[in-house]
This record gives sequence, structure tokens and C-alpha cells, in this order.
Amino acid sequence: MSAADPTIAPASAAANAPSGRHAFGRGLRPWLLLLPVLLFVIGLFVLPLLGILRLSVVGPNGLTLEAYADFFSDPFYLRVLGRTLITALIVTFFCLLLGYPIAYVAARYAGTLGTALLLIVTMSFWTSFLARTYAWMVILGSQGLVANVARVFGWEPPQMLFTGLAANIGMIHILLPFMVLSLFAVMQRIDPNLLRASTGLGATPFQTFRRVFLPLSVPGMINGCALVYIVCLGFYVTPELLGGPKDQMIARLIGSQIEQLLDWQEAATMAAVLLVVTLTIFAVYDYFFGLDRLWRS
Amino acid sequence: MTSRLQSSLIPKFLALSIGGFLLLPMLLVVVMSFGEGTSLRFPPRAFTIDSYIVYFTSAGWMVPTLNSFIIAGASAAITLLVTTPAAFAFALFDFPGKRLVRLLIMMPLMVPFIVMALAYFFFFGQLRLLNTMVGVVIAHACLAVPIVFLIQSANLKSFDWTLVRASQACGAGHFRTFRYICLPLLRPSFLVAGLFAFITSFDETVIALFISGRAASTLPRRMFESVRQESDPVVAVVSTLLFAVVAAVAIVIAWRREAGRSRSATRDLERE
Amino acid sequence: MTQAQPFLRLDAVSKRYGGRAELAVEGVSADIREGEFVSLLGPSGSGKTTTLMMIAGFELPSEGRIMLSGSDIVGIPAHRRNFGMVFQNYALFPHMTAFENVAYPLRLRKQPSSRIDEKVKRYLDMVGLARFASRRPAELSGGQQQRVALARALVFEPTVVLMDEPLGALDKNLREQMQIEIKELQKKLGITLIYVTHDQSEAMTMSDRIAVFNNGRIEQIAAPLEIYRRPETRFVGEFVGESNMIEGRVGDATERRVETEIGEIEYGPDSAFGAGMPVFAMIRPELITLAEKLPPRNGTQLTVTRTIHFGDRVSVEGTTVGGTMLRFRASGREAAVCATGRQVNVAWRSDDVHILARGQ
Repeated sequence: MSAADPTIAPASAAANAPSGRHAFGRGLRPWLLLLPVLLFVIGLFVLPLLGILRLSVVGPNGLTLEAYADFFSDPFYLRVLGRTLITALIVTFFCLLLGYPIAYVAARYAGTLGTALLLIVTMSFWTSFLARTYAWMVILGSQGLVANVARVFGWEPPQMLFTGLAANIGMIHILLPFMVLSLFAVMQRIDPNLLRASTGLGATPFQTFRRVFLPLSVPGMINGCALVYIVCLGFYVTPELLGGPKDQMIARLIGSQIEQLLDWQEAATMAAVLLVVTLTIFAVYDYFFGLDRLWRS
Repeated sequence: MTSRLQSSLIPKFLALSIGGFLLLPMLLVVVMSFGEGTSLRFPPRAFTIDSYIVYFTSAGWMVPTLNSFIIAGASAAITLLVTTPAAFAFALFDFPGKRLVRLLIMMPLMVPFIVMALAYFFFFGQLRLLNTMVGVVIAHACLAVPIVFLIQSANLKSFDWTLVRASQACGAGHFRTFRYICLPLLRPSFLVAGLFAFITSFDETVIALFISGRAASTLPRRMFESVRQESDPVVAVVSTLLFAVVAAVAIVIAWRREAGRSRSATRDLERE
Repeated sequence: MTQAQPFLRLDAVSKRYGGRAELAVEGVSADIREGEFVSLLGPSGSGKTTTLMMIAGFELPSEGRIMLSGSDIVGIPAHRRNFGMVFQNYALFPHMTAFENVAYPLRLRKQPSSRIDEKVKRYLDMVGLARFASRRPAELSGGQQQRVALARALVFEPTVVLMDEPLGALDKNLREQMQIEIKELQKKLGITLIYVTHDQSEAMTMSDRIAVFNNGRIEQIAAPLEIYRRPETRFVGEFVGESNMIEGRVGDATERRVETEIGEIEYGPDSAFGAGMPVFAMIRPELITLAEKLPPRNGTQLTVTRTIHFGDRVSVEGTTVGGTMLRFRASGREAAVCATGRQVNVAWRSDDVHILARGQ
């Protein structure tokens, strides 16, 4: 059905057909096409998700918000939550700081340099982040690159691996391509004639950048930051492998709950909190900019 | 002139150093893969290809690799099959609740993986699908739904629907129009969407980590365990191989784009 | 053209798009003879393309019938109507060569391949593209692509050929050349052709008859010269060619005089209006000439407000004492007389004045 069906409609309905969409569109036909995906997503994604949310509010004596009360009254959990939010902020900030020059040069100077930079960024985007996490273990380990270089200069480095710093560096490295690609998508569309016009009106290169390019690239910055921040909030693998035991983020806490099967309700509550925080950011973004813009990058 | 040169020099230098920061760790892994002994020593004491031999001959690595291919292939096929009709529905029709349905389809992209790992751990535990390939395939197929949907929607948006009318005006009915016009023209983009779904699954670590178990262990899960528990140099081998595939594909694409540009340029000349 | 019975008939066809109050096409009726070249002319959004799409079968009329040789074809899907169609953006199949594009309708009709070969070659030759048979659309120029589209629409000898602004994307010189070629092909092959365009000169040069569309209705359907000389509505008069529309009321009907702000205007013998009716007196700018002296009727004095030079001629705008604006043509030699600010006398012949009804 799904294969042959769509062609029935384009005659009448195509998005770019001159006369617009057809009255058939209000019938059953779109829903027939949507049925598989709706069944699939609702049955195998939404349902499991609701299952875990339900778990967080059902106690031995029916519905209860006890788990949430526990969560928000326990300073340990609050510290973890706060650390998660702040860590994500730090990582996002550094991604923006490091990502902007790359995206800027790639967008402004097409040619060998721009192409090479883009190639590097796309390659790291697609390279397994486990591979990259592993690389940082090699660099920061006690027998690793940095330590051995330091020893050459007769300096014994402190422990770097399994610290919050290592986790942050790893996350920045892994999320940087997201940021660069978001920025680049927007910068690429900035009309170079605007910059020429600005120079023609007497602006110095820095003024042109500051007054024309930078404001026009703000949408890319917003997209990139939103993306990086959201991914970072729920990041599990890299902090788990690079980070130390003291500075856990909420995702690691959930992970260790699953591994040790300690308390379903507790784990579900933490998951619910993380979910709400994430969705709140999405909602804020949607309110100001519309979610569709985020997907485009 | 000099000031313009200088002003472009600073960002260029910055961008290059940051590019080095991105690239260096990946190159390091390549070196490590030929190293001998414990994996976390750099530079390695000696160079061998032992780790490559271990990777390609041990069941402990080959089985997860194979699992990953099977799971990624199956979940990509499912996602493509389930999601493509929906992309057509969005391209062709206006219907009530369109925004809501779209939000629903995009959901898997908005929920943190770790949350879904917990959710599937519980859900599949009840269905007795924990530690099975089926469970991982289902989970990965769900995750890829929004990605495939976005790609397919973009494809269909750029598809020239007047071709469908042109085909009908030539006398082709719905089936033959789909068979001779839509399918050949959309096939490459279907493949791209499928490839993205494949990679999404192949690369996914968090959910696979918790629900695949030993029986259906995927390659990322195996890598994760090996990084966390042992100092196993094979991880570097796998990382290098993955990196090599990505680099090869990226370079081929960049090269073909250049070639395509010059080819279309000569074509323009011929036309005149 | 041969005098045949109505071949394609639109019978009070209307189209309403879902959810919208106004009709996109409203009660369009027309008879099209076999072998006739009819243009649907109008501004964008006037319903001409929608009408064409209903004839093609891509849109369903909300009301009315479309009859082909006496039988209703509304229920027949587009691909069974055997109508050829040429689209504005050519709509060539990018994955097929020029040859394969033209062969496509024949292959769908399961014709033997030897015959397909022969016909495709003949039609590609006819549009002058025999050499380019193995090229893909992307390797052809816009004009060449449109010729392939033309061959593809004609090769299966369709009952009717429909064209939707086929030359809209071409530059001016190529467009004029293609106009001639299409017209000649149509005559040679005796094709019934319905041609949508917003370009009035294109419609004038190619058509046997023009249907002028406005706001979803046909305002007038007639031969090009008839449309030009005797428009039935103000819209037609102003859309097709330039015109001066002078408001007035019929004075003495037997003497055929209109009373206007610039005095009495005599009109030609072809119009019949009762005394006192509100009318426009329409005079084409090229039919107004400079005069030495102010004539007693059919003339006026103007203060020139603007002149636009076209090289071979000059378009002059001037206003009467009462403020009526008139536009007329002068030869290059007369241009000096018509400098801005000058007072000039103009005159016209009463036969060149056309009267049309003016709504209250």
C-alpha cells in the first residue's frame, strides 16, 4: 500500500504544484500513510517512556510523589543536578568559543583551507565517539601523551584522567563538530555582498565582523548552543569513561542505578527529572524560535 | 592591504589550531592501533600489527561486529519502511493535527538516550526482550525515525512533483508513474536516508550498553567494556578502522563534488 | 480552420478549493473546435491555469461538465484522457535521455519498438533536436528542453494538446522564435491546442481565439483582432494592449454620440447603446494623432505631462483642461512638438472609438 499509494495524490496535491493541495487531503489517505509510523513510535517509544514515568509515581500504596520529594530534598541529588546543569553550560561555552573560528573561516574562506576544515569537522562528527573518548584516555592517562611530554621537561603531572576536567575536555571535543556544523549552516547563507557593502561604507574588517557578520550569525550560535547543551545534559558514555567518581552527572547516576538494579523508582525519578529539564529547554526554544529551525541544522 | 591580510590571518590561525585539536586525537588512535602492550601508554614501546590480527580472529570481537551489522541493517530497513510513507503524507497532504504528529515523530530525537536506556531496560524486561537482538533492533529503529523522517522530508520537498503530472499526461497511471518516475528518481535519497539510519544504529552506545547484554552485544558495547575494564589495544584497532571508513567516505564525497563541479562546467560550455 | 462541430466544450465549469470562500474558477463556458488554437489569457490568479488543469484532469471541477466530442470526461483520470501536456518548467524526466523522454508515452502505450524508434526520431527531427537524442535534460539548454517537452507532448498524437505558459522561462528572442515554431507545428499537424499565457502579445500572435480570464471568469472569448478592437469589458480593453478609457454617458443614440468631460465623442457604427447609459469611450493610443487645429469634435487639447521614447516612436501622455489623462503615439519626428509642458491638439476618427458598458 505504502509504496504505490503516494503517487495517487501528487497529481492533485503536490506541495510545489501550482494550484495547491487537494481536497483529498482531508480524507483518510494521509492517516493511512501515517499509520505505520504512529503505531511504531507510540507502541515502541512513547509506551516504554510512559512506563518509566509511571514507575516514578507509583508507590506500594498507589500514586505518590514521594520519590520526587525525596529527590528534591536530598542535597546529594540536588548537587548532582546542579553539577549537570553547570557542566553542560561550561561545555557549551567552550564549544562556542572553539567552534566559532572554525565555522567562520570555513564559511568565509572557501578554497583549500575551508574545505580542509570542513573535512576535519565532518570526519570527527562521524567518527565513533567511543573512539574519540578512547583517544583522550591515551592523551590524559598517567602513561599518556601529556604526562610523558611533561616528564621530558622534568615535571611530574598531576592525575588528569578520571577527573571532571578530563570528562569536560572529552565532551567538548566530541560536541564541537555539532556546534561548528550548526554555525556553519547559518554563516554559509550570509551574503558576502553585505560584508563588501560594509567595507565599502568605510568599516574596518573588525567593525564589519562586529557589526554585520556577528549579529547575522546569532541564529547559528543559538542553534548550536541549544543542541550542544541538550546533548550534554544526557551525556553518559564519555563522563563515565573519563570522569572521576566524585563529579557524577545525572546520566551517570541513572546508569549506575540500572547496572546495580538498586531502586527502580529512584532511577525512574531521576530519568523523569532529566527528561523534564531537557523538554523544558526544547519548549523554550520552540517558543522563541520554533523547533523546525533546530532540525534544519 | 596589510591590515586585511592580518585580519584574516588571526582567525585562520585560530581555526587551524582548533582543527588540529579536533584531528589530533583521531590520528593518535591510528598510531596506538599499531602499538604494542598496554593500550594507554603513549608513545607505544614498539609497533606491530598484532592487535589487528587479534581483532580479526577473535570471536570476542567478531561476533559483536557482526551483531552490529545485522542490528544496524535490520533497524535501518524497518525505519525506512515505517517512516517513508509518513514523509509522503507530510509532503502531499494537509491534515488536522499535523504539528502534533510531527512532534510525535521527532520525539526520539528529544529524549536523552540514558532515559530511553532505562525505559527500554524496564520495557523489554517485561517483554522478555532484554539481551536479545530484537530488542536492540526495535530501540534503534525508533531512534532513527526522526532522522530518516527529516531526510526523507527534505528529499520530497525538493522533488519536482510536476514530473508526476507530466508522466500522467504521457499516459502512465499511478503505479507506472511510481515505478518509472518516482522510484528511480528517489532511490538515491532513499539510500542516503537508510545509510543515516544504519550509522545511527551502528554508532549508538548507551542503549545498546544496557539492553543488548552479552548475547546480543554490539560493537560499541564491546568497545565500551574493553575501554572500561581492560587495557585492550584492540579498541584502538576498531577505532582506527571506523575512522578510516569515515575518512575514506568523506574524502570520496569531497572529491566527487569537485569532479561534479568541473564536469557541469564543461557541460555548460558545450551547450552554447 | 475547418468548420467542425464543438469538439471540446466547457460547460459552466467552476472550481472551489477546500476551505476557501471564493471560487478559483467561476462558471467558465467555452466551445473549442477541432484544430483550433485557443489561448487562455489573464493575469496570475485569474483562473486560467486552474481551468487548464481541469481540462487536463489534474483538478476536479467543483461544478460543471467538460465534454469531449459530446461525452463528459470529468470522471476520466488524467492518464486516460490522451491529452498531451507541456509544462512551464518543461517537466522532463531527468533520469531519461531526450530520446527516452519522447519515447516514454509510446512505451506506455506498448507500441512495437521499431515504431517507437521511427516516431521518436521523426518528432525529435521535427523540433530540430535529432542530434541531441542521447542527451539528458541537464545537458540541454532551456530552449532545447522545451523542444523535447514539445515532442513528448505531440509524439503520441494526442486528442488535445495543453500548454501551461510553456515559454515563460525563456528569454525574449528565443520565446518569439518558439512562438512561431509552435504555431507552425500546430497548423501543420492540425492540433487542437489550448495555451495558457499571461503575455498578451504571445496570445495575439499565436491564437485563433483568445479567452481573456479575470477573477475566475472568462470576460470575453473571441478572435485576437476582435478582442483588440472591440473589447467587451474595461478589463479586456486595458489588459490587451494600451487604451484610453474616457468615462461618459450616451447622449444622442441615433447620432452615436457620448457626452464626456472632454466634450462629445462620436463613435463607430458597431455599438448599440441607449441614450443615458453610462459607458466608456475607448480609443487606442496609436489611433490618436496630432492635429494642426483643434477639430470641433473627436479631438481635444492636451498639456503634455510626460513623453517616453521608444526609438521608432514616442509615447506621449497629456491631460485635458478638465484633468482627463490621454495617451497617444507620435512618430520620432513629432517628438519635438510634444515636449513636456507644451500644448498640443490631438484628433481621432469616430470609427476608431469603441464604446463599452460601464457599471454604476
